[in-house]
Amino acid sequence: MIGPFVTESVLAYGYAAGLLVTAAGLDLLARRVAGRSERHREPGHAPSHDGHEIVRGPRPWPHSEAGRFHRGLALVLVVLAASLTLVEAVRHPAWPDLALAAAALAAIAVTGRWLTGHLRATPADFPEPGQKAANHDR
Amino acid sequence: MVPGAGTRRGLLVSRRWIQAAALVSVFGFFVMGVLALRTYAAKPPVPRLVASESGQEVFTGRDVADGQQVFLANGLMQYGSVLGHGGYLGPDYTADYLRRAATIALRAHGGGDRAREQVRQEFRANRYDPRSGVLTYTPAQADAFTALVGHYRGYFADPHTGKGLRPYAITDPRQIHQLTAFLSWTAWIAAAERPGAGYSYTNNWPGEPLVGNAPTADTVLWSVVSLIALLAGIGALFGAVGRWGAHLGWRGRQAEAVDFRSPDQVALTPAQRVTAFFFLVVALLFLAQVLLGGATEHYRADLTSFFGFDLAGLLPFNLARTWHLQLSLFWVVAAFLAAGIFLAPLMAGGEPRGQGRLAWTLLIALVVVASGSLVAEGLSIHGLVPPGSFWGSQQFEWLDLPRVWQILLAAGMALWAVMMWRVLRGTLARDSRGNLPWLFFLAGLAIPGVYAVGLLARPGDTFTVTDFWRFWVVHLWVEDFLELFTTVMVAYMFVQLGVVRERVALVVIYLDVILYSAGGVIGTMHHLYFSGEPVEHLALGAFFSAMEVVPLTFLTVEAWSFVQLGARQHMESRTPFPHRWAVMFLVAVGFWNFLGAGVFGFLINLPIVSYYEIGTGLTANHAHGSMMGVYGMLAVALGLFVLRYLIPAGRWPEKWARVSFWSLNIGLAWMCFATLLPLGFLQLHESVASGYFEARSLGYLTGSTTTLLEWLRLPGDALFIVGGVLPFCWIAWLGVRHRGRQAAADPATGLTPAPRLSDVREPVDSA
Repeated sequence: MIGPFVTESVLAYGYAAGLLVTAAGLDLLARRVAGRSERHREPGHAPSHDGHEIVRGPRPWPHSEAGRFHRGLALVLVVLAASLTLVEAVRHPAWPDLALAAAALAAIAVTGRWLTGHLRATPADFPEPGQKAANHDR
Repeated sequence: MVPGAGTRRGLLVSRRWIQAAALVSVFGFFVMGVLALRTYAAKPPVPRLVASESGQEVFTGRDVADGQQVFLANGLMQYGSVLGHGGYLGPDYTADYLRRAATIALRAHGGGDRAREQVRQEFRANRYDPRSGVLTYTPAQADAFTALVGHYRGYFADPHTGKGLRPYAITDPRQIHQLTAFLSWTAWIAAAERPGAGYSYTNNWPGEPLVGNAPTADTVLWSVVSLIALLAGIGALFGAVGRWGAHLGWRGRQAEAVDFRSPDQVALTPAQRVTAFFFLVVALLFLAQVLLGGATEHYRADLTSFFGFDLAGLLPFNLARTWHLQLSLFWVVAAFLAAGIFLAPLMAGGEPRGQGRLAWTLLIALVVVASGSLVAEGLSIHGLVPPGSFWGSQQFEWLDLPRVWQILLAAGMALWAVMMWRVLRGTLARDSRGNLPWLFFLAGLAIPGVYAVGLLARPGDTFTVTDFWRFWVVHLWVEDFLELFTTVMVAYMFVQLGVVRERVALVVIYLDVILYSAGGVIGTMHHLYFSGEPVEHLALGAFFSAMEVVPLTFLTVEAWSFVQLGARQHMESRTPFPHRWAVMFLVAVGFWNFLGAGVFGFLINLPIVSYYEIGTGLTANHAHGSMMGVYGMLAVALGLFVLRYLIPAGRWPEKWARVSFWSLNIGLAWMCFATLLPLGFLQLHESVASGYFEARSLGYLTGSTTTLLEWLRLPGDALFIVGGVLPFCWIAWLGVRHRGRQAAADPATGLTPAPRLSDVREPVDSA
């Protein structure tokens, strides 16, 4: 026991919190990847044939889909945190532990909603020939 | 005379790249040579005779060698471990023997503090006489041996399957005596002090207070040094990238705009079409491997029954794990060989007559070796093959296939190298020895060459020596040479697609050779901290393997530049980019390279962590994250790349490729984060807090919390198999069903022209 809490519960909810932090880290990584692709969208990178140097305007894919990959895995970790919390709440249904479980579930819900929004806002953007805009292939 | 010989194409990169790569490689292998000599010179002795103080024989050196073969032939290295190396369900038998023998001795001395001190002194004293070759056991040690022969007789002759072993696994009293002698020897080198040193032959591993085993000063010191090396290496890396970043890695611009050819426009050579069957075999071996993985995992979740069925009578844990590990190597290597067969004609511009028949020969040989070795391992573990049989038993972990099959596999890979030479010889004669075709050929040639080094690990030799050579295969072959060949292949794939220029690809390959040779070659020794090697192996292994994380970080960062460079081209193409999912699998390789190999690997790399952790859940976590995450994903990427040209564009199952990609990655992430990582942390805590013996006990592994974590893995595993592997099998089946379009051979020369994968649309001068 750790204070009024069962040791296993504290470890499980602590690990669930660690998973949420890792998921947030993956989301940050996805944002950096997406940022890289956004930078490529900026003007000034248009194809040019007027000199010795050719500078093309790379578009988002595969950065866009890689960002989606990272955000997908981040959501997997959130689902895992929720599963672990629910299983632990069933194993140790005493009130002090359930209070911890409720706090963990609240954090999971907030993180899950936040990351789901990010995933929805990250299209795969796989290019079709001649296509200029994102195709939002999900 | 090869046409065109004598007029070689010039070297595309500075000669300094070759000199640097050669220098670093020669240095690495020179040090490895020195360490090999030190292994033989400073290995723990196997006594000619172990006798009691009265001169009575306890066991002989021959018993130790034969006992090692009994241990291996019964697949016990895939159940438990010795000196920390092996499976994770059974105990570490070195720690097991040591604890039991010390406890028996303590009891014999009457218990209490004085008895404890006496036991400690008895076990630490080195009574081996090198002149006579006789090791003298104290009466307590000799009595403990006798008692433990009885213990292991009962343990291995158990008629039940409650431990995951087959019933009556070993019943022959002579074999039990030999096996106990082998375990006793490993326990002796773990506790007896190395002459002239204040620690045992195994650097005091395993931690065992009863015999005074605790981490040595070197274990702590070199952990600190390796941490500093890592930090300094990362700092130097970023400094170098800042200073020379513009000239390193996937930099530069492709000069042409290209249009990717539709797979329907790509006519294949006969051998390229045979790769369809290779990838079907790859997929089926992959499926078998993961099903066996499911079985081994079930043993950890519920040891006593497989949903009501007593599986261990037929497929005991050690057999399931043997096959699981062997198949992981087979399907990955088969995918690499197939990709080589597919790429070589692209490099040479054509394929000579007879290459298709050779490809069939190689495929049949691989199937025969794979199935033959698996059957032999099954027969051996079921006791139907005598220990040490050339034909039927070997079973070092990862080098499980019996010796004859091991030789045949090396021969099969040599045949593949000959096939590469047949296709490439004209190109090789015309090109600089530092350019891509030569690197492709030499990297390919190293695959059978380095694998064959594993033949130096012979079941009857001193375990320390066998482990040294074994890790030439497990680490050096898998982690360095397959990685190098991979880099060359992936680079060439993108050169063929017109995505990167050959010169850029060459720079990356040379950089890869330099970075991996700097850390990875000598870093092999991080597997051998506690195997009975002298302390310099620990020091060099810790220092150089910490440096391995540096290239992993760099190459992960570079992978993004590579993908970015590729993105420029396929966005400009007027035709669809055909390799969406092959590229996404390469993205996954980059992710898992950093997480599975880099982070999870470094987590267990420091000697002080490894001291408590070796052979526990965190090793399994690293193994799955890196082996499947890097090499598995890569093999699937290679498969999808090739299969794209074997399946007509209209029949390409885009949806199933996407399902497979997501399912394999989600399944693997779930596997690691739901079970392997948390279980590993808990087991590490148990090892530090209670002891290594306790952390490896079945009592701990079948506890309530660990069982819960094992069951938690089920959804991820199910998704991995059903959503990840089965769709890949379906895609591979479509490859066999359609097998691409055959190109016409030149009737005069017999040469089949290789297809172009892209067309240059706008040649443009570039700076």
